[in-house]
Amino acid sequence: MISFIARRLLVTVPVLFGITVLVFLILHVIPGNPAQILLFGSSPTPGQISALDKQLGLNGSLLDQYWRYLAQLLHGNLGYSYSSQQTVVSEIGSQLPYTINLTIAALVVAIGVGVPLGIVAGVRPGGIIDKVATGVSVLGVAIPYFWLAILLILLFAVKLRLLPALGTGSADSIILPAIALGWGFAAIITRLLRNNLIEVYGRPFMLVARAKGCSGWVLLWRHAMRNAIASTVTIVGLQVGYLLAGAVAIEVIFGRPGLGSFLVARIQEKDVPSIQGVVLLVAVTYLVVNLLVDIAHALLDPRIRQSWAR
Amino acid sequence: MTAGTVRAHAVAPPLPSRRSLLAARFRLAARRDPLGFAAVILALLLVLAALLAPVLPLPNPASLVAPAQQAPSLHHLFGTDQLGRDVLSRTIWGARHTLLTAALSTALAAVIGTPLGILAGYISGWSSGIMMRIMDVLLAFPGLLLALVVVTILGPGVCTVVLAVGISFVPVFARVGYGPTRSIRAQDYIAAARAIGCSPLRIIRHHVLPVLTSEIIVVVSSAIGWTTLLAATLDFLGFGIRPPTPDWGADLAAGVQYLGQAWWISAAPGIAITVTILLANYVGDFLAGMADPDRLTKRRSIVKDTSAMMAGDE
Repeated sequence: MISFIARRLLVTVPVLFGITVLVFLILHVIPGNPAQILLFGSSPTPGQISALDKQLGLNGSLLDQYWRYLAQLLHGNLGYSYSSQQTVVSEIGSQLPYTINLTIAALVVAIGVGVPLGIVAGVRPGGIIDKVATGVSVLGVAIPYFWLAILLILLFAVKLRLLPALGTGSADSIILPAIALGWGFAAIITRLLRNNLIEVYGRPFMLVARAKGCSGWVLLWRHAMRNAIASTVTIVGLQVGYLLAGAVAIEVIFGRPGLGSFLVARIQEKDVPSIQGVVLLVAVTYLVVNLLVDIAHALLDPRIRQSWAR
Repeated sequence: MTAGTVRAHAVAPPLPSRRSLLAARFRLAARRDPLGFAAVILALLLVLAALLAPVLPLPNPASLVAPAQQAPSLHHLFGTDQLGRDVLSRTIWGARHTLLTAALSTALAAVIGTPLGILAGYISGWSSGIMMRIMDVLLAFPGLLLALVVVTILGPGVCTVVLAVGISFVPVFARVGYGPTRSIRAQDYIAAARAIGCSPLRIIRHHVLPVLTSEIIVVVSSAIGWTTLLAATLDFLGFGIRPPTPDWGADLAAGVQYLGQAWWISAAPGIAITVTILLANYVGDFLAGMADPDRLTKRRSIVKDTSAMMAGDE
């Protein structure tokens, strides 16, 4: 297991490195000099511009600048926001809790709806619940999440007046955004778990277990689920990054603060350090989650460990 | 040598032409997968409506033809929007813009991604490794995030959306090219072709591409659904086209603040996006069935295919 983790880490490091290069380069491929953007409207002298360049760490060769960027990064410094003059770290820090809450709430919806529905549909394929679950999951994948968000606002906030539509004022204001963000994900889990269960139930060892007298519950929990859950966990991990990105549109629609609405606002203001900060954070989170999921998958399924040992 | 192969040689009929083979497969797929066949017809109708928008008897999508926010009626089937423009007309005209964006960005992703994948799969050693690591880096950014990075760099606009969506789907197509090429590369007939002096280009053209073609067509058709979604998301967030040009994402966003009084303004483009994604998936399934008739009996699931594709996972 240790060697599996070591090998998996070894693959992650170059990707991590590549992410920092890409994020660093955002600043340099944007047309226009950052100092000029900052001093816009004040007709700066060349002296002012070069002084500001130096302050922003934009002097020297590209390689020099990258090493300085990396060094700052390792010290936990993501630079200063152009529009608010505060550190990017503190700005992101104030937005992060909202997005984490939303993502976790969406995960709860996705797993809470997807897993039971997938199990029921997979144990009795072709039954009524299976047909309903299949219909729901096909629609769930096809409906754009921002469109679902609008439908939910229309139904529960405008027509029925049950739940608040906008903002983060009360505790129940997270319900609609979480459903909108988690629904498509629930559909994927349902479909995947159902197909995996059907496949596992068809294997010979299940027949043996049944023949020696296992009850339905033991069959499901001890034999079928252990096989079916491993690949479901992988997809859950892969999709967490999409949840983080999907939060962008959801936060904008529901008027919630968070990384997503922060990112959209800062893209409009061309506030490059803030954009770099959010992009780096999301990409690294995605990478780390994938790493953890792969390790979890290897814990659940010894075959994975062996395939990496070769 | 078994008796079966001897008999097959003895009565081997002349090979059917490519076209009649395709037609036969189409008929087979249509019989086994009627839902997919219906989706193919509907998708063609959708494309036709988008192409024919200028000659269809529709009011001008940009002109104010009636009082604002009128509910759907016989006169205006989908109602009128916040300014008094015909929503049906805007939805059909919007299809032109949205579908063109989706098609162009999918083509861009396929044209850049597939050769990269084939190249990385065909050559071996460190340069192939580096290329696939770069794809891994791109895959570490969820699609929308990568698209937003491109928007940051290029500034909002129509071309930006095409490029942004296209670039975020490059890794998907690189994966499509990489896997099969890797496994074909290891076959004995490739070694034989190399031994008789075929150039790598010739081997790729005659031995690799024919195997990939059907796979690429299938992925392209489902990818159109996901590029439509991503393009609509960017337009929805206001990074694409500017009003008053009709566009599904932008019109959906414009209608949001009138939800309480006139739900139909955002309903029409929202349903259009949903239907497009559904159709693209069913058409993709149908084409997959045509390419590999054995699949039809197993009925592969859309969700499993597309979620794996979105995640770039083979």
